[in-house]
Amino acid sequence: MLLEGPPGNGKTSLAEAIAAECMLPFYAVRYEGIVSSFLGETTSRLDHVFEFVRTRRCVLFFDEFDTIAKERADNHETGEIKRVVSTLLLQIDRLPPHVIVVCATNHGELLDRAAWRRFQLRLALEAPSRAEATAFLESMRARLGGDLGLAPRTLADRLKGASYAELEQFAQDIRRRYVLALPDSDLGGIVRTRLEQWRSQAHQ
Amino acid sequence: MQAGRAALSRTASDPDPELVVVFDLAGSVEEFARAVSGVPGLEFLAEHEEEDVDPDADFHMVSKDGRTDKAVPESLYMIMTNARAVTQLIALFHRWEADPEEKFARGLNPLRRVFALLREIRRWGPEDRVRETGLLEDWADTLQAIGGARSSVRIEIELWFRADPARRAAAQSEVARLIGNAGGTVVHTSTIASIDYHGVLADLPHREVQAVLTDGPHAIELLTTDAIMFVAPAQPMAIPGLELAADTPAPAVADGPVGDAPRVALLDGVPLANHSSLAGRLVLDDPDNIAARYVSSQQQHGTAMASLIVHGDLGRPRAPLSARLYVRPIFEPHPSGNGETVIQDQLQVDLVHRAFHRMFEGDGDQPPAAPSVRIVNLSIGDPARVFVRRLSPMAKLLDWLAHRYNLLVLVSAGNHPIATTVPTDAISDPGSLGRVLVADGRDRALHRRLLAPAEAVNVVTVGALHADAWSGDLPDTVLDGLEDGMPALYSAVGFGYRRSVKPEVLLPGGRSLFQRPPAVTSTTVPLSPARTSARGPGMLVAAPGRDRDATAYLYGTSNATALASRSASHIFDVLAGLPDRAGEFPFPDAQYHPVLAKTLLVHAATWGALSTALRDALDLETSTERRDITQMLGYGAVDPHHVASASRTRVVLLGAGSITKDQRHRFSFPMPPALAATTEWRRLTVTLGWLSPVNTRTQRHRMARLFFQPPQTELGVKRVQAQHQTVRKGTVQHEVLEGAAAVAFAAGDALTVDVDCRVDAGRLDAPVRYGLAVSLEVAATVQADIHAQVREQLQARLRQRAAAQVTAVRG
Ligand SMILES: Nc1ncnc2c1ncn2[C@@H]1O[C@H](COP(=O)(O)OP(=O)(O)O)[C@@H](O)[C@H]1O
Ligand SMILES: [Mg+2]
Repeated sequence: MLLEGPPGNGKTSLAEAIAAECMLPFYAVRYEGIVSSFLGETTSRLDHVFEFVRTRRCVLFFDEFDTIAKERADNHETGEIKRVVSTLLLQIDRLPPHVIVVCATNHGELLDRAAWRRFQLRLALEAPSRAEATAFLESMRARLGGDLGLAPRTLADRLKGASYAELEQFAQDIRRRYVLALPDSDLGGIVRTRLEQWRSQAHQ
Repeated sequence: MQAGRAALSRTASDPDPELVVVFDLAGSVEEFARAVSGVPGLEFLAEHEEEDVDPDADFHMVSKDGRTDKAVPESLYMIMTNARAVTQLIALFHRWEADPEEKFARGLNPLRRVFALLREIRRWGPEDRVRETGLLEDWADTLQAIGGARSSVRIEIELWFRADPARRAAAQSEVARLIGNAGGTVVHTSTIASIDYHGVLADLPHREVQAVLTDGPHAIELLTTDAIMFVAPAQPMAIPGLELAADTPAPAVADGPVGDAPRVALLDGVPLANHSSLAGRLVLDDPDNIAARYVSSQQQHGTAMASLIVHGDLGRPRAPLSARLYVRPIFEPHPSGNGETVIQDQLQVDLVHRAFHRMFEGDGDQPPAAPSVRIVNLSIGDPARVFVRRLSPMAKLLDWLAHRYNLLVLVSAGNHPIATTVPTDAISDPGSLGRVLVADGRDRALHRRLLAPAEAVNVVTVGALHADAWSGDLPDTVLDGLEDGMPALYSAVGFGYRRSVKPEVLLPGGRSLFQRPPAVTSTTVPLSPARTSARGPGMLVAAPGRDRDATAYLYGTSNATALASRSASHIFDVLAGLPDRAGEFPFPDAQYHPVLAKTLLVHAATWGALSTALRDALDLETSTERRDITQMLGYGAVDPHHVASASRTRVVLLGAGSITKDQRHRFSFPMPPALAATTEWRRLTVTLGWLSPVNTRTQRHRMARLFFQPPQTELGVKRVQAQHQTVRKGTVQHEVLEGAAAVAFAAGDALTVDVDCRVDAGRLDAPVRYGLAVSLEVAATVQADIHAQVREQLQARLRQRAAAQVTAVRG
């Protein structure tokens, strides 16, 4: 399964949820980790790792998959890295069906066609639309048990382009500041300054 | 006490290492016992109760991977009253070894027969100090798992307890000096005179471990020190962290009056006191400010246990506990950051002792913190201390405390890993997988024994059933290996100390699942546990999450123990609410409620369908079948509908009293006329529970042995459940008899149950409190209201014998 979309919109969460729902162990593999730890090793050590994984049912999660499987037309990586990467891809291809492989990437467009075609399922996890952001902020308001200073719809408009993770952080931040400044908190004022702050960061 | 059914001199006043003598037997204990019975001064070594002799009860060596089955060489040790006698005895043995023909001085010749049965007579040595403490196994495991990665290991040293404080101090500083010389450090020390406990918690550098593993226990100075009795690994229980359930908020719980004086105490992790299901229901008493060591997301186990005790399984919550729950934290976050552990830098025995002392005596000149508590819940099963034969110091402490403060203490049996290997064929057929797993559990029973302190004799030990309120569909990535309601695979099994029934009862503890193994071509396949805590099954428990009503799913014997504490509290409510009626026997007063709660909790236990399922799965020998089932089920599953309740077809009579040495209390149970001369099915259940004073200096330990002989022919019934020898070895005797034979009796006839008291070890300071429950159940086809019939007869009896001094049905 390939999960694709900008950061903060649930790729890692979805992969974890799949493992939790199937009640399987979740193994997350990070590109830098695996490449650096196998540099200078024979590929047989990497094969050992996969041998272990192959014997059990599990969810194997490759974050930042593009870094492994990007088109390598003009790359200046060493032959060493190439060797590790191609062993890795080979091993992924050879995994038995009881291993659920989930790959995530922020940059689907960087994947080479062959890598792309490997996946039985490709899901795009986009940033929320205005309606989705409104609904999400509404649920946040209910969960945090307090007003967010502006109507969720208005807030969703002002935070256009934000990811779920950013919306969540924003709402939590508002509530935290509000509670810390009690009893004379100015909710309206807090929201205004936080929005300003957000806009200036987003424009950078 | 030590490998073998060892005996201690009853008169040992201040056991001194020089007074200890060890007999290494060449043959069986029974043979040796016969030989010493004729030797003046040694005859008490022969003091085995007839029923103790259990021919197929031989102990076997246990290695963690489970294969060796060598019989354990038996050693007995004894403490003599005079150091010269020890020296003489040893010298005599060596002379005899050198020249078996040599004549001994007059009176000593019977010793020849004894010597012939021995491999050696010697002083307490390095091997004795580690035998059956789990130390060598634990060290070997550690070394294998992490090599020398950890620079030191932690140990608990038990010193020979000396009554004289000056000698005690001297022994301790000697031990501390040796630890220092070896490059180790003393972490904590404690003396608890009431159980003859003198302990030192210490860290030893890794090279000491290495030396012992390569060259044996004599390789390090510490293990050759006279002052030391035992050295055990100190490895407090670690509880893994939970994943939270995503979309399952705790149900809104009934508001109800919450009594202020707590009746139940929980010694566990720091709970999240403002969780929606716990707010206003806890009394958190944290004098050491352990809460400061936690961040709230780590407060998992205490929160889970508190919610189970207060509400039961949140998947199907029941009426909340009638009074607030007293919580004393004794856990801290695990140093790895994941999960919790019993506080590591203190001797656990000391920690628990201080917790009880604060509740019932008060710290310093403070008043007691929780004198209203009558039930204590403890789940600290020590994975490095699998019960073999020696009572752990914690078990001794709990036994002493339960009697001293008149408490019902509930202890979890302990959890074992469920991972195993099964034939591949079994995977495809749920029925056969269930049978295979039950059989596998029995084969591994040696490795699934009780975890200390579950072997304590005064407590009720609780094992778990594979059951919970979760319902839903399982993904096909997992396997539910067992039928609902079977004994859980993770739950530790008996027997207990001196082959007593343990765990006494089983309650639901939540279901564990396996990952469905991938298709393989091999004939066997390994099964490993599935992650169930986020989506169930399991018991739904309160958890610290980002919302106040967060939950998780959990399985384990501590869940079952929490439910048992809840049931016990319910029994107290019932007992406290029983109105005395004019013209009837008065109910036992509150001092007997703890023993009655213990009695009634076990009284509701039955093998029921479980024994049928075990017989079906296991190829049991008829002659040992009841004993084998007792080992796996104890007294069975507590039937929640039978806890302190009666009906038209089921009548329960309660009795209680205080009894002392060689006394007999007679109880009579009027027979309901409806049963005369019928062939209707009937079941008689008789349960006697007490809290025995303990003598921690002798191997007998349990001082008061109470028992009854259940009526059989009078009612046309026979024993059908736990084996009759084992039921008398603990502190609760529970007998279930059934039958359908017609018996003739006259109006006014009664069944008689005599409660007898013998004293096994020492002298009783005061009479022993006990509770008795007798219930008679008849088939639903019996039309008459037997409850009303028995009540009428009791009233008639009371009118006849108005002057009798009685409690309840005591006649
Ligand atoms: N679709 C979503 N719905 C609700 N919350 C979300 C969603 N996507 C992300 N979040 C929130 O943002 C956090 C970070 O998301 P994450 O799964 O790590 O995103 P990614 O891996 O795509 O960068 C999550 O823990 C969650 O709290
Ligand atoms: Mg991510």
